[in-house]
Amino acid sequence: MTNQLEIRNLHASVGDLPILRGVNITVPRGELHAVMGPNGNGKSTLAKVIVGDPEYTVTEGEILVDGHNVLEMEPDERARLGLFLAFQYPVEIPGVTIANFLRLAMQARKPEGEEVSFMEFYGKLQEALKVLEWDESIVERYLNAGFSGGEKKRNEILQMLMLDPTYIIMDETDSGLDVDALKIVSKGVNSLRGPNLGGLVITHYQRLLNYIVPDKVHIIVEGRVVQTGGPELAQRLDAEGYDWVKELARA
Amino acid sequence: MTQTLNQAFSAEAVTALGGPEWLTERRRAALELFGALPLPTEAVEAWKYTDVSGIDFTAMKPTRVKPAVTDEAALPESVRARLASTDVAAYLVFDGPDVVYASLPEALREQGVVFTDLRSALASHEALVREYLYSVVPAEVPDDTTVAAPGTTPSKSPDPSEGKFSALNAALWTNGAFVYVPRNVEVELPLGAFRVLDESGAFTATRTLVVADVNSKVTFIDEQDSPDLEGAFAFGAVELIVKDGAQLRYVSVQNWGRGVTHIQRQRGDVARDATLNSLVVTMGGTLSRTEMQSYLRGQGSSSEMLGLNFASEDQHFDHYTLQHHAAPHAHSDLLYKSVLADTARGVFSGMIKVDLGAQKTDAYQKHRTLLLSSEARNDSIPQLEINANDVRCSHGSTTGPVDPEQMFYLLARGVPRSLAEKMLVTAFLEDVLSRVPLASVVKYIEAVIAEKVGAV
Repeated sequence: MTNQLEIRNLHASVGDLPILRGVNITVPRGELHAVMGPNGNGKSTLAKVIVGDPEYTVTEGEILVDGHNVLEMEPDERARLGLFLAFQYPVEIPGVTIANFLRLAMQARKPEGEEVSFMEFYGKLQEALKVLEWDESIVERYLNAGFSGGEKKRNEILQMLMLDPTYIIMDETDSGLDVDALKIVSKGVNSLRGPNLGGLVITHYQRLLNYIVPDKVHIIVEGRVVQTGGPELAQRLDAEGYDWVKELARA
Repeated sequence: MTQTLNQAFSAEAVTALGGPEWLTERRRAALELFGALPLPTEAVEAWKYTDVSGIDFTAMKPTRVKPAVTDEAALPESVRARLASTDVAAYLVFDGPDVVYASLPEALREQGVVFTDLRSALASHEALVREYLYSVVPAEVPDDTTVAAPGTTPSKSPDPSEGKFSALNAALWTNGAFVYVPRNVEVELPLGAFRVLDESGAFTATRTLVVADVNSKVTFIDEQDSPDLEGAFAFGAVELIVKDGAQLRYVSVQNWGRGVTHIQRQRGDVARDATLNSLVVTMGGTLSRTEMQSYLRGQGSSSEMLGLNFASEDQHFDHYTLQHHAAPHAHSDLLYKSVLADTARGVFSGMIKVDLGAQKTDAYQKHRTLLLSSEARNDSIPQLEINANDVRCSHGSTTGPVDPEQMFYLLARGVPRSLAEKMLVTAFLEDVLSRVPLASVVKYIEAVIAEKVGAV
């Protein structure tokens, strides 16, 4: 029961428009599952609903993180519980430096009265920057302000490395990345993989999954998981396209 | 009550301020004008949203004289704390009506820089002061009517009542600061004046006169600070003269305590190829009205006008700005940002005026307001008045709550909502500070912002 991310019969809407129509996925810690599917079928909605985006309304179902139902929790509580969304479109916040932001986000995870020490912060930062092949000066820049698409995605992974999540949700992190950037981003994610990390890698293309090899692949069509399999499923989608899974949804 | 009025606002009071005869005459004339003018009312466009009818001059008394000190250690604690973290090269400290401490390094004196309180300057450099005093902020409201083409209707002249407070200041100013930077002299570190006020019911009239002569360069920082007071009044006038090719950066930080009414007119006269960079920071007081006017007199002149302010609880902040282009090829760029919390009230009226003949004017104006409460109210009134036909002018104003996408992004990283809001408010204002290359004053302003944000 515990130590897994469990999505049970999840239904969610934007306004009156239902998007998710009963999603069931269970990811134990130690596994990364890919979520694939045609565009506009609910992949990104699933990512945002898990972390509590207020744009979406959950109408039915449950999301359990290590046994805790998170649907009643605010997004910041969910994050402190260990959920981490790598945004498809990271937000620009001019005026907040990456360094300051990371320090405050780390501090938010500490118990009352305990400070993030300089050593802890700096040591971790050095390590993360090395994995991401990034110069230290980047953290003095404002959060994503004027960043290229690739820099924004790399910054998502920097935050992921700094904040020690237990479940990562990657929302089309590969979109708009060239192969070099894709390799660096994947290297970052893979450096975190281990028995304590679970998560979902949401993508439209199989390309990313060459670098972050999933334990399972789920295919979402029309707001439901229509097929689950191993990494070979992603390769079949790449070779044959999505038409055959759309047929599955109709069946 | 009447007794107080008679004492503080009388011809005798003016005479008692001393100085040369011509000055006393100017002061007396200003006092007469003050007495003759009504208070500006809502019928006056520039005062439409700020009600000053409750100001009771009869209840005000002048600030008490404080002893001058020769040692920094004897200054008030709040001033010492500020001096400890500033990098100004020279400064004046005003407490009560007079300067109580002054520092001017020998190196600046040798360069010919004059930096002293206005009364001393009247003794040591009378001709210089006489040439410029009241030249940019006179007792009466400056005539900013645009020059229009023959046969067309020029803009409405300013209402005389807009001179009410400048007349009061011209008559009764005491703690004045004077800066003169000679031709071709560049002063590397900033100069500054710190003004403190600690008496409820008192009024102070402050004046700053900065003259940057041809091709000179200087930065001047005016800071005003007090604890919370009951019914104190500060009427300010700032005259900035930027001569051909000179560069002046002027920063004013109004951090009075609650209970203070602050009304200040700041005006720059910018000559050919000269540059005036201003930053107006408003944090304190209960009712605060600050005007920042750039008169772009010379061809190729330039004015950057930045402002940031944060009103909370019952604070009412009114900012009036003017970019008056009187010559061709001049450039002005204004960015003001306001944060309003609780039941605070914000007013911004920004005017761009372009005279006939001021071709190739490039004027830009932007005001952004962040509303942290549904009970806070903002009125933003951008205005354009253009009499030339080959110009580029734009203005814009936005008002809204914290960006929900930015908020969600911070929440999604585990930052609690209240802290996230503080971060976004700070970031909103920080954006203005990033354009000000003055590390130590920026750090101070950041600390003032942090204190205010933390209190929300």
